[in-house]
Amino acid sequence: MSPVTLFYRVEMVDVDSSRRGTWLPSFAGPLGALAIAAILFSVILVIAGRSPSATLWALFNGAFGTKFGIRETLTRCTPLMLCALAVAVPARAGIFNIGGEGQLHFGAIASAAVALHFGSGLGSMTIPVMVLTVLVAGAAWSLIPGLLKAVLNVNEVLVALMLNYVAILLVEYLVHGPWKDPSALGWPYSAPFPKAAVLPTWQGTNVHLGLLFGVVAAGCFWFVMARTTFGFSVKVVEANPVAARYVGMRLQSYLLITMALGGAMAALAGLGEVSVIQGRLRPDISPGYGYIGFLISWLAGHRFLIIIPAAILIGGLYSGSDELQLAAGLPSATVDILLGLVFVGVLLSGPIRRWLELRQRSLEIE
Amino acid sequence: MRSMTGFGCQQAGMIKRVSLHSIVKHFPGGVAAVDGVSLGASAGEVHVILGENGAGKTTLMRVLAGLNKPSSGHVEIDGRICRFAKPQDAKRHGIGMVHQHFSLVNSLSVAENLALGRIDGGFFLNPAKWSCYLSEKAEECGLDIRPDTLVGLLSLGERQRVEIFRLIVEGAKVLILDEPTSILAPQEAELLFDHIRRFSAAGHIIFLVTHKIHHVRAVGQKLSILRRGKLVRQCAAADLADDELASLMVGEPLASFPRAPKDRLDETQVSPVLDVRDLNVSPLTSPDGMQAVSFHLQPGEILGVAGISGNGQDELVGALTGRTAYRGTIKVCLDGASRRESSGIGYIPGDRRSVGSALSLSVMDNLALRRYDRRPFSSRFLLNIEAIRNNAIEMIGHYDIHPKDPLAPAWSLSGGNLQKVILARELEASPRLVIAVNPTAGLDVATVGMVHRELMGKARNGTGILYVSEDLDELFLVCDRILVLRKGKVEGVFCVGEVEKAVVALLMSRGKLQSNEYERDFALGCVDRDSCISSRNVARDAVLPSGDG
Repeated sequence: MSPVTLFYRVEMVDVDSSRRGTWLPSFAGPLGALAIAAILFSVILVIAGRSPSATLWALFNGAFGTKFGIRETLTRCTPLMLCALAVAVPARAGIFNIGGEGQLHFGAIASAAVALHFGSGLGSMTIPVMVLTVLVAGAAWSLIPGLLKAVLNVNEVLVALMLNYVAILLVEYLVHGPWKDPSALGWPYSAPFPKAAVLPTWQGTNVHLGLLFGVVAAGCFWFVMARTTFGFSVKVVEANPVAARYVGMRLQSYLLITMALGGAMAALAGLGEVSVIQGRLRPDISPGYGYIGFLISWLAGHRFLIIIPAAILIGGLYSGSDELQLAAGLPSATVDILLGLVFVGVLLSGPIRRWLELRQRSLEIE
Repeated sequence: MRSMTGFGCQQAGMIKRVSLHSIVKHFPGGVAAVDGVSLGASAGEVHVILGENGAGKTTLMRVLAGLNKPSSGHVEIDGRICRFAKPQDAKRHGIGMVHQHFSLVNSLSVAENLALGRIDGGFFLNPAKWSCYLSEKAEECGLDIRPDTLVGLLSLGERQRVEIFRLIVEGAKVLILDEPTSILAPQEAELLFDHIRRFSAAGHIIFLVTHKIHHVRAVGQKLSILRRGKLVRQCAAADLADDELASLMVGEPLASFPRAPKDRLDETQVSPVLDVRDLNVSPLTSPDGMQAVSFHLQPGEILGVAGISGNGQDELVGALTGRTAYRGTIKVCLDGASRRESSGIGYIPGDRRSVGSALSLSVMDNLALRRYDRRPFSSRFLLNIEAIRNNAIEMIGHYDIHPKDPLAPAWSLSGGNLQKVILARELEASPRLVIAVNPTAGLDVATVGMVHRELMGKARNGTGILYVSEDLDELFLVCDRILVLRKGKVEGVFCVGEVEKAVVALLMSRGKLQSNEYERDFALGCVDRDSCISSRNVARDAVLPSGDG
């Protein structure tokens, strides 16, 4: 490949970032959002009488400074990355998928169904069967709001949000009722998963196959969106549904396909949590991964390759929160404040970006 | 100063003189829509702003009305410099504008609509007193307005009258009328001119924006001619003869356009590319919808659809492009090759921003929109970005699209360049049938010429083109046959060259008439002037090639 073509390829990657019609580089948004969050967080720390630099350093050190920290970060970032993809894929077609939490729980139910029903009976096929079942289950769960939107034009946000509660309560019902393990001393747990139904992990840590799924899926989605006719259609559907319809694209099918792909991703996150982290189906498998995934997707501007580092960063905040408690003497819930501020930063960076663009375009009053 | 009526209408003294000083207006994209224009008008003057489409007339007047901020230059009222940050500021200074598209709420009465427009009215409003006040005021101005009628029930001419009345009620001393006759029947236009004369006699300043020379004769006292954003002549209306006016507008002496004689296709041998029978569509934007419309379009033919907007055009195009349900039959006959390609039909929508393109995507992507899923743009699922990019570079060169960058987002393009993108995309897909809706609206003369040239070139290669437009000059220039739509029905189909423009104009506005009625109108001069004068006034003639390319 000549240097010219190489340069050209690099340029093509950037086409994707100019999708939103901006002259700012693609990473400006996420970095700006993080900077806003860091500044606001520092203000709060100063008010609380702490040193911002020491606290942020403790957080960073806890997340990325030690072997244990890095392992913990990678473990935490796995469901976050998958849930972020669950939001980003439909978002590229212009649809909000706020149902990641529900899809995650439904994925957990599906994996428990396979694990508990077949036990070790499937042998080495257990994992593939489980993964396939979970993908289908997640897609099906997300197609409830998807179909309602496509056929009846029902607001997908409300339906998906309500279904989150349904899925969570469904888990509660199952572990309190039919799937309750009699030997769990009254705890609302299912029976532990058989060995064959636990995803492979890396060198005895909790870093499991889900992380690889997430990274590979992000890469695949990037390729599909940037280089295939399907991706082109999705791009046009998002940019102007009316024009898309006139050139013969079926809007509904793109809505359903992207929604199903998203649901499948979130369900994979549920699989990882019950199979590796908990080892059984139980309530409280997710501290809101679905919602934080939403945050990450927006932080990354729904760009798949930026979701990977963004998820690692946010996962790092979680794993670093213990260090925060030990070293800085701050409650670990401080991280929730920081996460909230990151979201504020994401929300603010949009208008700031638009304002900068507007100044450039010197738009006319109509 | 407040009036005695208690309705908060400004009754300040008349404005003696309003003037614009070296106004420059740049739009994003770099072209100066208005380039250093200075002009002024004194109380009681009717000032005609004459120019071709895209000459900058409307932009200049929008600057005066506070709708556009000038890039440089300023507005002076009675010698004081005024800066308008928003249209309300201009209103406060007594400047009001009637736009080509009205801003009335159809479901409210006239009185309610006018109450909405009050800029410094109080919080409370007594409806009975208000409409009583309006009646008196209307009588005072000599306008026939019934305040309690629903706006939706009014004709376009009456709505325009309400718009003008609203400005008067709001205390406007300077009235700007933007192409006011484009929607009017000839008699309504005469009535409008009567009103204009009356307002000018009462001391109002009136700016009349138009591209029709006979308006200058009808009401104009002073005259400013704009061409490509520049003021080319300012004089008294009586100083120039019609053909001098026309050549000043167009910029070069008018040469007659040698129209290539069309080889008439033998209609019995060639099956029509589009055959519409008994088409019925329920109303979208026209009150009458579309009723039992039948017509056919031969390959290589340009069929014009003439009609005042809102007489069934939206319904027709909606049905043809599959956006609306219809009864009846629409037969599109494509040959084998083009049926396989779904690009057999090209569509150039009237709304190029919200329908014709995806603004947040690049020019390159917009150019690939129609054929992205076919060779050479893709094979199986994979896009061939190299091919898409090369196609974009080629189209940008061929259609002279600015900016030259294939990665430039479509929102950064001017209307004309965006239209070129759409044209390139739709025509390069080698369609058998093209549906073009007002394809030249708002474009500059050169681009209009290019659009006509490209469409006529396609027709020569055997593509059937349905050309929907309100502009009769354009239809008579481009089309082979013209179909006249009125109230959702076909008033007639004529071969160009076998019908007077005036007849079509009359059919558009009033439908079929008794022959003696038509002769009377002709004798009264309601009909002919427009057509005789403006038929000489076609800038595109000069731009178009001689027809053999």
